[in-house]
Amino acid sequence: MSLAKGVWSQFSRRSPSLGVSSKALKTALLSPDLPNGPVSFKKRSSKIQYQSPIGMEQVYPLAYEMMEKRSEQVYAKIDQITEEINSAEDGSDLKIKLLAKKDKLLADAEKFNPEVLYKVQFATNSLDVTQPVYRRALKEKWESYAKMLTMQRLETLNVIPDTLPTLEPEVDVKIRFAHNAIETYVEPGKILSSNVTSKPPVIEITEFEEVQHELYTVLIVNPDIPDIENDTFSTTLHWGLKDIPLSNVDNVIDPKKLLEDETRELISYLPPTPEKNAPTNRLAVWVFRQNGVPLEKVEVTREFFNIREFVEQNNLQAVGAHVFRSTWDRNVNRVRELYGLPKGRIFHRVRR
Amino acid sequence: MLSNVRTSIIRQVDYLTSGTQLHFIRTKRKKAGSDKSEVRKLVTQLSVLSANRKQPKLLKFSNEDYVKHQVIQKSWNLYVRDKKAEEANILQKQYESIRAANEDLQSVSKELFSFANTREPSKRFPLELRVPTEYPPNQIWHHDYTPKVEKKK
Amino acid sequence: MQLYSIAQLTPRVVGRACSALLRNTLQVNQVRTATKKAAGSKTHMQDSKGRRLGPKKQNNERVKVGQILIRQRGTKFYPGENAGIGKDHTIFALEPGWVRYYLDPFHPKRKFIGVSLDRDTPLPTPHFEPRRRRFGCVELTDSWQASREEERMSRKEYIAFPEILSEKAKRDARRIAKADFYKKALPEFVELSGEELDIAAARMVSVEAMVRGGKSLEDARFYTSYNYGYDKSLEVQRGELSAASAESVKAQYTEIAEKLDAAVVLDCRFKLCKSLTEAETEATRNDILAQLKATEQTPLNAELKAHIASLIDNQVFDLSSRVKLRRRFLKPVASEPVGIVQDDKKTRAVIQRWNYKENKVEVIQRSQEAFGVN
Repeated sequence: MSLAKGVWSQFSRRSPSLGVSSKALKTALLSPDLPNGPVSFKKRSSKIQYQSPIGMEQVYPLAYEMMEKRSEQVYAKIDQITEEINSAEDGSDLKIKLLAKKDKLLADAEKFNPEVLYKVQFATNSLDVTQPVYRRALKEKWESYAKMLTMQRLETLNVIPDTLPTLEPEVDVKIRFAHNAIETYVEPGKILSSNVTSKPPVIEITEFEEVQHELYTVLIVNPDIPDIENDTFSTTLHWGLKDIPLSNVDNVIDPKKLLEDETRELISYLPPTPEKNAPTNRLAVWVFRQNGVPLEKVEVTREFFNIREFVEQNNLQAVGAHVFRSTWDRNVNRVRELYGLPKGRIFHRVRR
Repeated sequence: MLSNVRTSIIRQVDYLTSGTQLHFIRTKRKKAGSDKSEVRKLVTQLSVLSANRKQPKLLKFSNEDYVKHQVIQKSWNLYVRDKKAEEANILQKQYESIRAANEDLQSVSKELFSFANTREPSKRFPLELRVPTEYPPNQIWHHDYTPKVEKKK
Repeated sequence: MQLYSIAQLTPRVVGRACSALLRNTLQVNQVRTATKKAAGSKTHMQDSKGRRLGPKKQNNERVKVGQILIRQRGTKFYPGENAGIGKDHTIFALEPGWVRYYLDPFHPKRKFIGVSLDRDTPLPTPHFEPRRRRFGCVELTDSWQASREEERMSRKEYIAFPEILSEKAKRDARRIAKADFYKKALPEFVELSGEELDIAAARMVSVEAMVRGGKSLEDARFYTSYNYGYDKSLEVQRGELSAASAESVKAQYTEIAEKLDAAVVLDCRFKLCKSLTEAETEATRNDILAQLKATEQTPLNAELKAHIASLIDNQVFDLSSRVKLRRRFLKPVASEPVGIVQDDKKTRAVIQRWNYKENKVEVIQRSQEAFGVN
């Protein structure tokens, strides 16, 4: 007996990604019991051995029906709101509010759909980010760990307030150095070998709200370049990108994207090449949302770069950040030669 | 040592329940297992078990059943919530109607209103009255109740 | 005593009755046990010398690095900017400057001692402002001293260094061997001149390393080309190559890369194979599947097993389908009706197992045939 009757089994107006694609899994989730044993169990003996909890067979159809009916009510509300949205003016506050409300309702309508629940918990690699319910799940996962970790690293390493005053993160920023044979996502605050960072990184920006064609600016700044004249530190701009179009699905800034249009590079990539016995360099990756306005006639200087002034002048909104570190190692000289940089200074081992 | 102390306490409690006069008596240490009381045995057994093992067992679900379990839990929570909201709504309505009636009374006759609303501090909830419950017992009052009389040994 | 009569009595009467009842039943004769202390104990006359606690530097006083600002029990004061704290909560200066005793609105219940780098700058610096930092390192201008300092290693690095070098040598040797292998193997698949062959071999070494590192074949090819192009543009930046010749070199590389990518692929086990069109792949796959299905009827033996394994290890199958095919056609034990015997002489194994459906133990005898070893 299948429970597929109502709105959760109609895919004419709902995305097919809201259901599980495996036929066996679908049968298991939409039957009161498990007709062929649990699909997630591989061994035949385990399948036979497994027993569902007593009473679940009787209760589950009732629960499913009830939750599906509630979902139908939410969908009715969504229809109403869609009509209101169609009648509202483009770009008005009301329309923006209604669109946000619709997104929330769409996520609410599917939250307790067993197929969606299964995908959110056990098939996290293939979530369709165009659907509000999956975006919400990803956001919850991000907020539960990665967001806190990033903020902790930004604060303890004093990236905040040494580069920008503060940050209210809205997007997940991940970086990896894809030019290497082995690539992994860099944990915020990690000290990387200068070999690894010798070519520009790939930056992934995950938005949790619906984003169609938003433009982004990315800056990599290093606030730890020695300024010997004033006996202090100065900030250097290692990489600057502007007007990078991203959406929910296409969310990666990689060489493929940058080769499309070379004007997107504000300033070319300079690898971190710390000097011996100088403090560990922090490389802060700042991501700004441009709110649809392209940057025009921006001039940047690589040395003595004032990021606060740049952000203020171009009216940018910081939405995410990342940080990795770099310290002197035996590969620095090779990287310097590769980029035609002069030999690095060497400082006394003891700081006076 | 500890068990020895415990037996003497239990002994006191036994006296208490039997209603005879209580004395503090030094008892001889008893051999283990000589106390045959079932409750006592159970208490000892439970005290030996770690708290972890006294927890109810965690349900073991397959992934599919875990998802089903979550759906059931959520639907039950929503069901209970709706029901409670409905009850609260009825109570609110009752309260509103009582208040309206009182206001009516106040406007019609102040005397009657003040008479109806005077506090009676000495008056307690009558003991004869039962507290209204949703599930009253089938037999309300044991008319032919006689207390058990233990035979004297 | 009748229970219901209690309810009718006034509370006072009830109270009196109850207390009388308790007095009668719960009479406790207290027994005092021996608690005499054997000897007295001294609790006074415990004192120590003064610990010389307190502030050692006053507000606005000049301090050097490491000077103690306050000795205290517990954190009466917290270390502020440019100040550190010891294990006995002693606060000391981390930078030379002027001592400041201050409050921070971000921690309203704490008092801080910090060191300001300037005579006139007050503390704390505003919460959202960048920190004012002192660099403080001295550059080694003497070239001999500088090179000596550059070569200096930490103990950890010094111990690990020989091993790092030997590992690097091994890695390089392996890379050269790989390149040699590709130089020999590639001419079978694609026609290349001597110089082209070197470039192609280097490309294949990089592609293989990237694929082994977890990239898809397309990504590995893209990033190999990207690295080559990037290195060439760095050469231009260094002035070793003119922009025009860099363009021509890149174009030549792209040509070779396209030729190579059209000719060869790496299969899921990183084996060099001829690149097939989709139709060819489909045809080969169907052909092999048909051959495999034909073997299903015949009992397995060592020779047949090797044959099936060689059929499955084909470039048209990815890793998961290879595993699936192995499970299907190279079963270590044949499915149930095959090789079930009653005869004791033919039996190779006796299997006892629990039948969950019937709730009893089954005993099954299997012959050689079931295990495919005749």
